[in-house]
Amino acid sequence: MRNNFRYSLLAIIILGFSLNSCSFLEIDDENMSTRDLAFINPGNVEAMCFNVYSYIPGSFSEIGGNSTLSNACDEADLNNRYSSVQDFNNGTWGIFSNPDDKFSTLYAGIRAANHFLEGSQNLDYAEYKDSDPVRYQFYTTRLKDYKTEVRFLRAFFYFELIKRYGGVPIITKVINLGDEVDLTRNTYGECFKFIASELNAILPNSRTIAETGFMGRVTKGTIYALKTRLYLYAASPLNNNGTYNLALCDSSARAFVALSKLGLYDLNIDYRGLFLNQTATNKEIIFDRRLPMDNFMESSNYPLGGAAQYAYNVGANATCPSQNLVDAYEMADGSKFDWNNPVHAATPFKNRDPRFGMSILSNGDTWNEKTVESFVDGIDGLGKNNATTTGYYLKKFVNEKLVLRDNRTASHVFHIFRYGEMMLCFAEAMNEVLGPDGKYADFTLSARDALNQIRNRTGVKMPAITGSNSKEEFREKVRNERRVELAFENHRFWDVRRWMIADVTENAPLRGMKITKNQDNSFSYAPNYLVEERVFKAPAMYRYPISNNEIVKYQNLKQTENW
Amino acid sequence: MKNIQTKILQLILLLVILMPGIDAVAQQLKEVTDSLTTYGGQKINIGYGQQSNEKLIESVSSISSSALTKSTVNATGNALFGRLSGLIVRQSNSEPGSDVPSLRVRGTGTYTNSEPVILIDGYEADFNKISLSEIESISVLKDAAATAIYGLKGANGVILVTTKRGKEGKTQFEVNIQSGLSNIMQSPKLLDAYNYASLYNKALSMDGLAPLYNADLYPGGATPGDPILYPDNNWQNQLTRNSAPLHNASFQISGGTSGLKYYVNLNYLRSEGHYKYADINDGYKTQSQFDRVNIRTNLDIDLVKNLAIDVDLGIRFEDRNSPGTSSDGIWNSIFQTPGLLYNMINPNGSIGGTTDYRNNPYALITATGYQGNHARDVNATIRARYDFSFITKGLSVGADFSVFDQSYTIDNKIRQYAVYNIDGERTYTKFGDDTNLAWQSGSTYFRRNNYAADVTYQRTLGEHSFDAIALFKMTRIIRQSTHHKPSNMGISGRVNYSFRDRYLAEATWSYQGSEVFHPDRQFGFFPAAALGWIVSKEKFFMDKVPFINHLKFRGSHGVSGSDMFVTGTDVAGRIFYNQYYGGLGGYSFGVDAANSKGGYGELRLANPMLTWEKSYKTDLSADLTLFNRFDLGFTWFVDNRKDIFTLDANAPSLIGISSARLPYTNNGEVTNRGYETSFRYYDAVGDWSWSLAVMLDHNRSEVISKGDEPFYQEANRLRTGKPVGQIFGMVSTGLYDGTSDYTPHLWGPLVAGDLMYANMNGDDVIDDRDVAAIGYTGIPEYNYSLDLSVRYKNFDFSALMQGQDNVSLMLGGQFIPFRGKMNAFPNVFDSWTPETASTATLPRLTTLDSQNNHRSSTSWLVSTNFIKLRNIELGYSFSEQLLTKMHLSNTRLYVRGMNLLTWNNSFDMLDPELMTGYPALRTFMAGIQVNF
Repeated sequence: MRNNFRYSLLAIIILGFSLNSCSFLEIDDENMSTRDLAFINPGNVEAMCFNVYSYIPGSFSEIGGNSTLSNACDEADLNNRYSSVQDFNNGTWGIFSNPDDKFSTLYAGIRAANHFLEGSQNLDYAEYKDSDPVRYQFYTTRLKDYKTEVRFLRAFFYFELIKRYGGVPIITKVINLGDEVDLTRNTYGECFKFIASELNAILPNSRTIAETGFMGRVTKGTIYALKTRLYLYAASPLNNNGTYNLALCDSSARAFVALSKLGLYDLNIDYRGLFLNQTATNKEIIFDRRLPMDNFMESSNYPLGGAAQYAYNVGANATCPSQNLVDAYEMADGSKFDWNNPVHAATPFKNRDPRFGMSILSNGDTWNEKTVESFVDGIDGLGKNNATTTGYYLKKFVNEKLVLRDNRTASHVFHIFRYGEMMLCFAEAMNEVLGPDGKYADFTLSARDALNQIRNRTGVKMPAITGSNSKEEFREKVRNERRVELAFENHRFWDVRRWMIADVTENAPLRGMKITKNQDNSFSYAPNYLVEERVFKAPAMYRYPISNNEIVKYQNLKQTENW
Repeated sequence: MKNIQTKILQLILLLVILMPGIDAVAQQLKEVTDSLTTYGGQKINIGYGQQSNEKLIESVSSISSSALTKSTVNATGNALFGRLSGLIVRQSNSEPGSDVPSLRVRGTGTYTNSEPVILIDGYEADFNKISLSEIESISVLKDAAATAIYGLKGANGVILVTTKRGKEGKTQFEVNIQSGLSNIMQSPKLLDAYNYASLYNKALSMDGLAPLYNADLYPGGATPGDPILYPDNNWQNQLTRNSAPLHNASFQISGGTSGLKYYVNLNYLRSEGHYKYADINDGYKTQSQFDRVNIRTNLDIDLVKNLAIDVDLGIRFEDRNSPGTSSDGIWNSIFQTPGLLYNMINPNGSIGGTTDYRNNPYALITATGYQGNHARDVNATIRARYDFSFITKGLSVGADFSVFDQSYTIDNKIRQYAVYNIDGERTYTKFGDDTNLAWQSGSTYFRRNNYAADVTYQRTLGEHSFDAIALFKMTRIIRQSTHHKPSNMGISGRVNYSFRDRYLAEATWSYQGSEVFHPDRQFGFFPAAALGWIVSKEKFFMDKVPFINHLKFRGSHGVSGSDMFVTGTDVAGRIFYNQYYGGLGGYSFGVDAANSKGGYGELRLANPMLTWEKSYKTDLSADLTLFNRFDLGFTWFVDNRKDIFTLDANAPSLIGISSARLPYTNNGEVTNRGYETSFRYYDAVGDWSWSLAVMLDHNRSEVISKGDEPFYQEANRLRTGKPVGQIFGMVSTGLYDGTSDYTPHLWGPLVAGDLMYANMNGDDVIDDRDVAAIGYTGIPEYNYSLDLSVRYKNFDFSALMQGQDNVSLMLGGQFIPFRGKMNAFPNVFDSWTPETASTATLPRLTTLDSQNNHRSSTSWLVSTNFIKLRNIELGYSFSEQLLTKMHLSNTRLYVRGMNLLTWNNSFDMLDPELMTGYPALRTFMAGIQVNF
């Protein structure tokens, strides 16, 4: 007995030493997926495609978690002084901090796209071909769509990059650590050509209409829309030594013609509803960032003085429209608003372009069952905590009478491409190519027609632009129309850059409206109220620098010119 | 450094004053000194064995039960301040039951996980939860010779805790009961309502904004108004009680026969917190409270001839209670909420608050429900040892199985509350809603299984002595909600050899593997060697210098490893050698994004070459005993850590890997150098005996390379070459006077009272590129202590002072006056205003964020040096004659205080050890110990 024990103890120890060590330290990672498994499962292939979508930039809080680029240009001021968006306005953004630095996010999207395209290259679902033809058909059709969409998204990410940084390295394959690669910045022109050729290549395979339930997927219209904008941006003065490139303008206009001929899109009859209605009845949406119902815009922008159930903890991140923008809205009769005109100056918010009242809340408007009092010492007035800093409140994108006390939510549309914007792109490009009234043989609209259709929208009905027969005069009309029609839609920030007018518009002080209530309950208006001085350092700030950190990490990457 | 010397000198002087008449008595005294002598054959626990202090050539520091039990603490680590050379103890929370300190052996050797491994009776377990009464000794293993045997767990040092065991003889009982209280050491002097209102208005006016308060209406103002509308809350006074009870009781039984030895301990601890109004709710308390029961049974059984079995069982039950809001939340609210905002309780009994300020600190304590936590630990070990002396003398074989099993369950009931604002007409406006208590639960489970077997051989042959061990060990962890089981295995060994009892040599090694490395390169080899020479045992020496009782030189060199930088618990968090795919961000389609689709793709990029960190340690030491009264020790060490686990943050973004998916590499190196000195003086004269021990440790690390450091062009920004954790910031050159010329600052034009900064890189703008290493790190470079014990007849007295130096803290948050509208600390009076321009040291008062002034700079850097009176104890033991009549063998009464005083010359706002959250505590205890 004792001997047995002795030997068994010895045996245990010898066993211990001779144990196949690997088996004890072997891991069980069967529940983890590897690359091979990832591309076998059609569900994972789909999810890899949708992962690429997740890198689409844009939301109402994309800058610093509380702002859009509207508050980084002459459209508006964010009342939250602590938001990083203010760096754009005080000129402190640069190589160390850039609240809109999308360099790594967009390249992460590009890697995801490259990874998908490489991995799916030889995917043919052949194993289903004979055994399950229905499923085979289903999988292969979908795979074709996914490939098209992912290629589009990659092109879109490159467009988002060059719009910010100018030329960037074009990367079309997955780079792994240790790979010998020599990545340098391609020129703006090379990038633009790459994007254009990608868009042309995927057009034939693209779907005209997204699958049911999948609004927000890339379709043929999306591709034409990016083409229109891509060519127009490439044709713009910033990218052509200060003048328009007519050949590229022509390509932009022709891309719009193709878009228009799809016959799928039209101006929404309701300008205000255009930004609040995500359903298919809103024919103007071409491509948008699909947002869930929420109340960020309402809680950020509601004036303080609405009825209590609405004005619940509101105003912390209000986009406050500037006087600079308000002055750009014409009178309803199509004439220019003029502070020197005593009739205009006495009631500055009356008889304006209807889009003013649909986009901006001003003193005396009715909102949330109360009258907006943005005059000094009014309940919504200047100087109050969480009140406007300009005398105006944002109305576009903001639903009225949302019961914030009960945390109610509503729909919002974050447009990436809408048909109205495309028409304005066409008007701008076409005017450069053939003047205000020139037409293509195969298309009914001239630049003027397109502009006047925008102005003639139901509920807006601004008088048509007549006169302005020179290219230069009409160019100014188009630019002002863009400023008004597309206010707060993330266009102005880029327009002032590509038109190269930012050194004027963005160096001008941001003005607000200081309203004083008189003894007799009338109001006095001071439209030159200084909200803040703004800083734009030309020419450097026309493009973004690459963050200093990236430059030091990878010295092949040259800094943007002038930075 | 000079600073420290003066401080130590001051300390010694202070204590000399506390020791009246030491020189008066001049009579030698008997066995008392023996107990104090260091080299009286005392055994020190080292890895997998024991060594006599005399022949010890590894770097090990050790304390025994008698020093440990001078403290009454909730977490064992808090009894170790200043007690063990080379061990840095830092407290970061003092809430009862959550006050576990962090430990560092010889500072910081790596910028990844640098926590040492803690073993209880040989196996990893949570030592902060065992009672002090059951601990026999604690050893800290520091050098390569001591830690190499632990392989992948050795690099950060190892702490060995050994519990008490029974000794052959009649049954001994010990009862030890302590009772006392704790209070808050230092309450910061925050602004009262009047001063807050006037200074905040001042700051507003300097910002060009309208005043917010009418200061005159607050208490202390010119025309005090209705106190209901103009309150002045001192939250600290209103919500904290002066003392909270603390109790500890232990009952120990030990003894045994030749066949069975036993040790049994039962310990109960209760510790309460400092909130007032904790009893106002029906059915539950919201006091912070910690209850713990420890039970330990250690049995040594000689089962049959040559076969010995040990059965150890340690069990803990813990119950915690605290308010529904975290202690950080409560204390932040107490310190940060200005006293003038609202009434703590409105006249109608409702809770005060406004729409912007709803975190009424009173409500956080009383009206958010409570959090309960019930934990259970089991520590069970069975060891079998078979003596093979019949084959060859000194050979034995052992096999162990040990389990550490821990679980807890959360039992919270949480609610929300409404606050009411009162106006001049005594009408109330309600914000928020009162909700019913909602139950929250959760539980965790953790178990570590250890299997070990060894062969040991101890033999003395003539002038040669051998002590050898070969060991096999495997460990596996089981947790709730993961299938992955972290595992280690390996073999290791050690040979000690001494020749003529004075030439000492040791070789030790381990070959160990971890599941976190690629199967092709899973095992590492960690060898170390040590040599020692006891000069004082040489004939020539003994004759010539008889007053030197002991002189030993020793040194060691070797390597130990670490896989402890992998702190994850599941495959995704631990295995980085395989490329895994999984869920990533998805996208939503359809109207109102109702059609939500998940995303999928590459997870963290794999690195199959990932390997362990290697710590190359070299130690040189000398030990000296003079006149049988003085011990001197000196150790110099250097620890070179290579292959440090580093996120590959320098991968260009062009690769397209978001920061959360960057791969890990072994791309870093740190060297940590330092020394440890100790001095001890012990003597006995007449009825007096005493010992005085002084310890001074120094260490400073240097980052040799750091793979994730950006390639800065400017030398002033480099982390490389600086200690791990070096604080960086702008170098302030003064406050702008409003008129002079200055180098432009990136953060806008300066106005009077703004901070100006040194232009470190010499370009034409002050910006982030001008940051430099300022101050030190958050872990002190110098740690020192002074430990005095005096015995006179039946009285005994002891005192422990402990200090730290070369340690810095960058202030932020509330320490920047009026930041986020918070109440201000007294440094608000150092801020610049036009009136205080000549004396101000801090930038202009403002209610807004200032990019220029509020960034990290030397202006916000403070030194958290301190000297603390950690422990003081006075005891009286009853005379033996008296006790014998009562059948008692020893009865001692004692009083003790802990953390009684803090000296620090640089900071007067809060105790420098605990700057946020639950503040530092002072403890007073009285106790009785009875042995029979």
